[in-house]
Amino acid sequence: MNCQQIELFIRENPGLTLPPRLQSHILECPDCRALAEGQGALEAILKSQPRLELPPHFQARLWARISQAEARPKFMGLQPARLSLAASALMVAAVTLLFLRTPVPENTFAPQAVIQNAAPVPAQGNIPGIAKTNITAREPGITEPSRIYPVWPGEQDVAEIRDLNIVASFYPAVKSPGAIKVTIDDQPLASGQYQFKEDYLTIAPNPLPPGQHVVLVSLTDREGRETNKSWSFYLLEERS
Amino acid sequence: MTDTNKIEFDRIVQRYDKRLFNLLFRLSGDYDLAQDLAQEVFLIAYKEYSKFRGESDFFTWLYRIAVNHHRRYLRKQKLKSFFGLGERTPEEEVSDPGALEQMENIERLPQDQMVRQAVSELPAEFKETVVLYYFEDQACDDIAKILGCSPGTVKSRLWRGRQILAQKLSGLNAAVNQGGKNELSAN
Repeated sequence: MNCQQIELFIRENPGLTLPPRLQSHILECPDCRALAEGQGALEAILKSQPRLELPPHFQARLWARISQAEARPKFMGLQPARLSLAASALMVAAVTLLFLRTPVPENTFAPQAVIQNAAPVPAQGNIPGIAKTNITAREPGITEPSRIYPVWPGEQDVAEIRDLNIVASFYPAVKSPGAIKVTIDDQPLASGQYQFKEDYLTIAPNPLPPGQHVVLVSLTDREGRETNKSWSFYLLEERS
Repeated sequence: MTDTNKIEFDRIVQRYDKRLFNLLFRLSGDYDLAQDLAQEVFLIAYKEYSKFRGESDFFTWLYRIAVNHHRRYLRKQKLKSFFGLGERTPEEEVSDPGALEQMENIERLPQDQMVRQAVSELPAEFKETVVLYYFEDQACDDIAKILGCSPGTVKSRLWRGRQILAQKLSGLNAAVNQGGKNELSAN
C-alpha cells in the first residue's frame, strides 16, 4: 500500500469513502490523511450549496417568448436571424457587383484631371437624362392621416398588472379629432377610461386578468379618414 | 407543435425549470443572465422537441442544449470583449431587486459566496463538470453523455477542478476541518 494508491482511489472515486484496506494507511500517513480529509470537506461544502428559487413569473415569461417566437412571420421558411444573415450577404454581393461593374476613369484621383474633365454644371431642370417634373407643394390645410404607434406595452411586450397604463402615440399629431374608439379584447372602453391628447393616448382599463390581451384603437379624423391599430401584449400576475 | 405536445412540454418546463435555472446560474454566476439563458434553452428545446427521439434521457438532452448554449454565449462574449463591446458594469450585474433578495437569501453564509466565486472562476471545462457533479447530482457516465466525452475524462476534469477549488478555498476548508474536529472533540 502506498500514497499513490490512495490518490488514485480518491481521484477515480469522487464521493466514496475509503475502503478498510486503505483506511489503515491513512491512520499512519499524515499526508494522505490531509488529502482525504481535505477532499471530503470540500465535497461536503460543494454538496451543501443551496438552490436558488426560480425568478418570479419565469414560466409566464417563457410562454410569452414562445408565443412571440411562434407568431413571428417566416419568409420563405427562413427564421428571422437567418433571414437577416441572408439579407446581409445579398447586400454585400450587390455592392461588390456594383463596384466591379462601375468603370473607373483613368487618372480619376489626379487633381488636374478633375479640373480638365470637369463639365459645366447644367442649369436647373436642364440635367441631361432626367425629365422635367412638376413638383407641386401640398395644398395648405390638407395633412396626411395620423398613424398610431403603441408605446407601452408594445407589440408582444410583457407587462405586470400593477404598472398597466397603456400608452399609444400619434404621428402627425391629431389636430382635429373626429372620433376615437378603444377596445380591449373586443370590449369597447368607456370614454372615461382613456385620455386623449393631440399626440398621445393613455388608457387605464379595468383590471385585466393575466394572459394575452389585444388592444384596438380606431381614430377617425374630421375628413372622415379612419386609422386603426391593433396590438397584443402579455399580462403577468401580480407579484406576491 | 400540436396541443398535446404543448401540454407535454409545459409539464417538462414545470419539472425541470428550477434545475435548469440553477445549472445556468452556477455556470454563469449571474442571476439575470441565468434567467435569460434558461429561457433561451427552453425555447430551443421547444423548437427542437419534435427531433428528440428518446435515445437519451430527456434531462440529458436538455442539459446538453444548456451547456452548449452557455458555451456559445461565452464565445460571443469573448468576441464582444475583444472588440470592446457589451461588457457589463458591476452595477448591471444584478439588475432586478428580487434577484438581490434571492442572492442574499441563498448566500447567508460567507462561505456560500466564496464557493460561488471560486466555482465561477474555474476554467469552463472543469466548471461544467464540477457543477454537473456536485450541484446537479449527475453521475460521471451521464456527465460524459452531456459533455460528449468519456467517463475517464469526466473523472480527470473533476479531479483537476477539485484541486483548483481546494487551493482557492483552502482557508475555508481548514475552517470546516477545524469545525469538524472541534465537534468531534466536544463529543
